[in-house]
Amino acid sequence: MAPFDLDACIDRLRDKQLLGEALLREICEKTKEVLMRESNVVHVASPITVVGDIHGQFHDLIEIFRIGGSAPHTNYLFLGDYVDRGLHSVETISLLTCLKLRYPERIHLIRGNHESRAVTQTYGFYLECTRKYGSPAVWQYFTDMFDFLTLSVVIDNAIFCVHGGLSPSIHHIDQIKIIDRFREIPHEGPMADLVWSDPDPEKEDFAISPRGAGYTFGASIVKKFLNLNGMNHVLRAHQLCMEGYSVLYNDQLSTVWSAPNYCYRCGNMASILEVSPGGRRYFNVFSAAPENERDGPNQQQQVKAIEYFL
Amino acid sequence: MTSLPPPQTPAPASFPSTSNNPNPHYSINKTPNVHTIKIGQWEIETIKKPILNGKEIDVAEKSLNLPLPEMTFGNNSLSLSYSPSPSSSSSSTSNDKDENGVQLRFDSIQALSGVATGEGWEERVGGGVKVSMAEKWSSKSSSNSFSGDSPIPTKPVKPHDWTFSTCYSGSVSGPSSFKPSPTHSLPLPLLARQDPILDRILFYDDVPLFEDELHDNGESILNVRIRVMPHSFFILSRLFLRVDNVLFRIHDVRVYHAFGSDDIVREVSGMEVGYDQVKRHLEKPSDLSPLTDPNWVYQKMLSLPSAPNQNGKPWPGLGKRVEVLRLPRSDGLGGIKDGLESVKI
Repeated sequence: MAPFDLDACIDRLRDKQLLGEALLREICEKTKEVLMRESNVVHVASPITVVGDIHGQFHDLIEIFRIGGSAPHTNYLFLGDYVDRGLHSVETISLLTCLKLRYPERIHLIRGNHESRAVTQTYGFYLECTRKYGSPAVWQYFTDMFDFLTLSVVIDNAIFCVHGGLSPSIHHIDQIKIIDRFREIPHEGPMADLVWSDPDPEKEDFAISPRGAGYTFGASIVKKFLNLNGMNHVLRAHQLCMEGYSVLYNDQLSTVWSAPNYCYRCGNMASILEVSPGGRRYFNVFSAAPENERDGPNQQQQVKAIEYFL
Repeated sequence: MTSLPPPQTPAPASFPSTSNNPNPHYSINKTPNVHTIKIGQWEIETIKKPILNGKEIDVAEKSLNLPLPEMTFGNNSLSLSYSPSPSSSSSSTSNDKDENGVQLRFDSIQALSGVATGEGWEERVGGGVKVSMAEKWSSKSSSNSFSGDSPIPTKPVKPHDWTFSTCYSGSVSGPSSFKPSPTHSLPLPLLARQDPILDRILFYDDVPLFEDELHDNGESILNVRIRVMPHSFFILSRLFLRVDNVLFRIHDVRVYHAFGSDDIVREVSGMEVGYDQVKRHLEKPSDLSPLTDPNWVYQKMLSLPSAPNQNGKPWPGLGKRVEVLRLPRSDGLGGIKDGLESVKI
């Protein structure tokens, strides 16, 4: 058992209190040991509730536990993108890390493309760590831990869960198991594809994005992948949708999005996906938590200065 | 209690001597999605709603032939209606347009219709750009490391300007239009002044039109802001583009109108600078977050020589022009008199 009171840490974090730097270092070290033992493809059983992108929207994470049930009474699978963009990435990832360490069999964390040193330097997590702790040390602890997060989860041998999508280099899930994942997310190759790629509802096959890098994948790719692996559904996050979820390819692929009113201005809904034994899937849709009103961007900015733009 | 300023001393020569009334009559109406101000012969309205839903996206993508930005605020807009006869403006509804009226409008679907699409758009329109990883990717694809049964195409499908670098400068309807003017300019000292009475902001809004994170290869943001002061309104519509490790672009449209004057001045300008040139100015090289702040980047870009991307045809948004729209007059005489009356009502 850890040399600190994990339950007390979780209680403090639920109240949105930060943990000390030294404590977070210990927690990240211990969590790495837990994550290290996980395969690149973790097998779990239903019932389980699947959560998409959160992006530092801590109050909405707490809302998820209110709607979906508290951990560990509800099993949770998080599909990545815990940090960046929102105002409370540190609190969000601290709580999820402590829950993972406390209940390793009931909380599962997959790596998203934002669980990366390069991406978090631009999109907010780095800055938030240095603002809240006065140094980048905490950012370092967490991003080192991110290198250990698993890449995919399979529910009941039937639902393949990943942050982004499929890769042209991966036909069978055994090909995921041989990836050396304990590293920064590379710019290309199967590990990058799993956290970056998107479905394209108008296409059948793989295509290169107009950006010049990154893949989209179509209906027949999903069908082939599922047939070959004896599964029936691909479940992923990574893409904002107004309704909080979307279902494509004749019910063979779902996107779940869990950051309501994304970036505090999109006005979108969010959802969590509840998978029951027997494979029934239910999108539990919710909107932004009321706490965002008193602890959101409105409290963060000096409005007057902005009004006199030039 | 604040005392009003003494009777106006003549304004500095650079300021247009139009409405000197620091207390014009105006009315504001706010509902959750729609904010409106009526002032003089103007009715100015902002609409802010959630991003488009799945069905709306399908419709817009078909009509524009363009995959939409991740956050398309397709129901948002800023519109300004000018009615030449002051009496009708106070009684008429916004649907009841004066036939001599002028309408300016900024909305996202119109803005997105200016994004280049179709095979060969880079050669036709210019400004083609790839993410920093693209070179590696094309070499990988041609060697085809993938040995499966579905070969990867080497060319992207649905070619379009994925950076959404639209040069949209707003839409105008009515009898007048913007014409180039070598003599007009924006009254920058006046706009920079922040006098708590003379320049107090009666109405302000910031309307997001679209935003795309370019799959975390940067960002493309278009928003339009307006501030209405006792003497004038001022608009800034800004496209801010960052392609990580490649470049920055800013396309600004500034619109200024002094109440009571005959002119609307529009300045359209675009800049492009290499990513590293801006990045070099970071205070802490490990903290890249200032690069996400359009104002910070804008200030740096102003101080740097514009350095368009050397590969291929340049982006058409570069450069600067000033244009003027002459407002129609109800009595056909023009002049400043009725304008002054309208703000004093």
